[in-house]
Amino acid sequence: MDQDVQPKAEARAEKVAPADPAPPPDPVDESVDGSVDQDAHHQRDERVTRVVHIVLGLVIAALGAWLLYRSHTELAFRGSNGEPGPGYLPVLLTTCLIGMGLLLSAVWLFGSKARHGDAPTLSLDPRGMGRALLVWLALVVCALTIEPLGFLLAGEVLVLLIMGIERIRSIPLIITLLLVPPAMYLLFDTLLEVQLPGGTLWY
Amino acid sequence: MNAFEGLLHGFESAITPTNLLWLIVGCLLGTLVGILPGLGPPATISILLPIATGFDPATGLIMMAGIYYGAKYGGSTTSILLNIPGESSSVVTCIDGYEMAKKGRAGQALGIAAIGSFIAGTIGVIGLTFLAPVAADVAVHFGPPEYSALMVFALLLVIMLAGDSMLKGFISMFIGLFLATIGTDLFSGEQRFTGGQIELAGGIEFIALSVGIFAIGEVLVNIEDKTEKKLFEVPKKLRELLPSKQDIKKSTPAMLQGGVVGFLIGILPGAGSTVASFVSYIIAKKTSKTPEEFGHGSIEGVAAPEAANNSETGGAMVPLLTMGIPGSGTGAVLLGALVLYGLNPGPLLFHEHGDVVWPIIASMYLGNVALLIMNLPMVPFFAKLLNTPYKVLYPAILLISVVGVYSVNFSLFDVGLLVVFGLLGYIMRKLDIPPAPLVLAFVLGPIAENSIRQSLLLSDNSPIIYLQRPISAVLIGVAVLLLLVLTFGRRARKVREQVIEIDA
Repeated sequence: MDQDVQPKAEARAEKVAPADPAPPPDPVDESVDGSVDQDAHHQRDERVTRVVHIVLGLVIAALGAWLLYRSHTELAFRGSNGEPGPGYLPVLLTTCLIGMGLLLSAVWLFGSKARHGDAPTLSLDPRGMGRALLVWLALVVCALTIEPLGFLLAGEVLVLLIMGIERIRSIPLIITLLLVPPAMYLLFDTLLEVQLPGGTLWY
Repeated sequence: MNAFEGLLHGFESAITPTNLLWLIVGCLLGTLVGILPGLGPPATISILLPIATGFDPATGLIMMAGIYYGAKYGGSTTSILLNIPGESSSVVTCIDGYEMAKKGRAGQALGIAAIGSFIAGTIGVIGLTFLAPVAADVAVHFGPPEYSALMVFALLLVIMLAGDSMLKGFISMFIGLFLATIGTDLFSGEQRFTGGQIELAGGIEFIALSVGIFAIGEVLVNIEDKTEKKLFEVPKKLRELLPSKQDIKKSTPAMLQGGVVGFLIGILPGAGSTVASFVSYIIAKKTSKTPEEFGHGSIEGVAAPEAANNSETGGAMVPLLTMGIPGSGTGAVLLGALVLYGLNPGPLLFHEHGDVVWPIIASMYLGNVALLIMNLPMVPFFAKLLNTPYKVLYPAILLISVVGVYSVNFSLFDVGLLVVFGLLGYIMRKLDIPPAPLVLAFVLGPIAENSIRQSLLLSDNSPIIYLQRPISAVLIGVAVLLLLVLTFGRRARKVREQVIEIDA
């Protein structure tokens, strides 16, 4: 509503005194603008948090339902003498998961704290999360290359990927990081005699 | 064997060159882990488990226990110098510790933290020495119904006191319990949710799960935070690290109170050192002659929480060693270690493996002395480590995690599990779902399931057996009462909100 009103008021002011020079920025106004931005940011965080929790609850309930179906169809609920069977606990647990998931969604959809913005917000910075997930992907690549390349080279692959993700340019840091996999290899394979993969490509 | 005899035998076994060496290594590693944010005791112990299982059980467990309480000593350093808790248990120390550092009293804060940790840590171990054999004697009479009731009680306590949302705590617990069902059912021999994978026939590898959730998950969360804080100057001379006689006189009641409170709270599974340090801080403030100083650099405000969080370790070892109930993520990993060594955690551990348990308890006395000696003069060196860029640290943590998990079964499948659980641990932290209930439930789940099924077999499938046996009835009654009080009780909710506020 305020957004609709403000542009018209500004336009009217320009018509009345178009020659007036722009007044110097008021520091108080700047801080007010800053706090307005913060409020908008906080409200966005609240909305995102609420949506995430509602979706999370539904995902947990859906996962619980799928696991309940599998538990019910693949495993016997009771044994031959009526005692608890292999499916007893899985059925109970998955039923509880469905209930908890739906409750979580309901609390965030209808709960007073969530609706009035009093609930704590999640810290979901896309940039930070993107960086973390890239590092996780680097770890996936390392895990996939351990068998063919061996631990030492797979470790160097991980370190090189991390250097790219973190944009490390400092030479001492680069050298230190490149020395980490050989140091690990020396410590574990040589000193502690934990046999690490040598790589199927070379043997 | 009474407590004195057990302790003497324990000292005899602990004071060997090998055990002393690994005790010091454990204490040093623990201090480093406590100082460096981003790698906690559960992750460190998990990573070292495969190597430690190559040692004698007493030696390996002495080292791991050293890491456990060493981290409590180290955690205060970053709290005081950087206002960043190195460990979650050092959160409360930030309040007054950092204020003291701002006033140029960082040395005295660090000194009183070390002294308080030593005094209260010793109180905790003395409590463990005398209470543990008594608890073990009581627990010997536990049958399947008592065990299953105790597991349920422990899991409920963990959920109630960990994290700001009990609902999320329950979700975490149920996921952990479900993950524990994957593998071969012991009663029927049927495969459950293995998807035909032979590697899952024995269940999910505990180390892959714990390292993934604790270490990888923590690393991924910490990668997001790129802020760097300025470090306060740490005094280099030992003299400047020692508090004055007046400081010690003022802090003594807080240290003693923290020692007792920490131990008693540590006995409760799930309470943890964060709750212990918070409760001790509140009591110290209420009983202090100068409560107005709290929050503005009160030395009692550093002494009390540090004392409690160290004494809590002794308390937490009571249910762990006597009943096989871990009270925290670290306890769960230590329990996993006991199982890997072929030791059956539970009341018979004291009776059948006193040669392992008593050296661990004896080593805790020695460890406290070692940590006091290490922490005071080496604090300036440890503080320098805080300048290590995290970008250098975390690739090493990732690689150590991979090696640690691989070396358990020399299985790349386990490394794959590590990566998957690493992502799960990260997602859980981002969504504020506490990971500790998941790991605890994973460890306790099989014991709980077996006990429940045995109990129902005994009672011809009637759950009334839990109410017919006095101990299980009391445990279930207390658990339900606690659940109601903490969920609906106004005062209790206020306390939880205050804990969460401080934690934030």
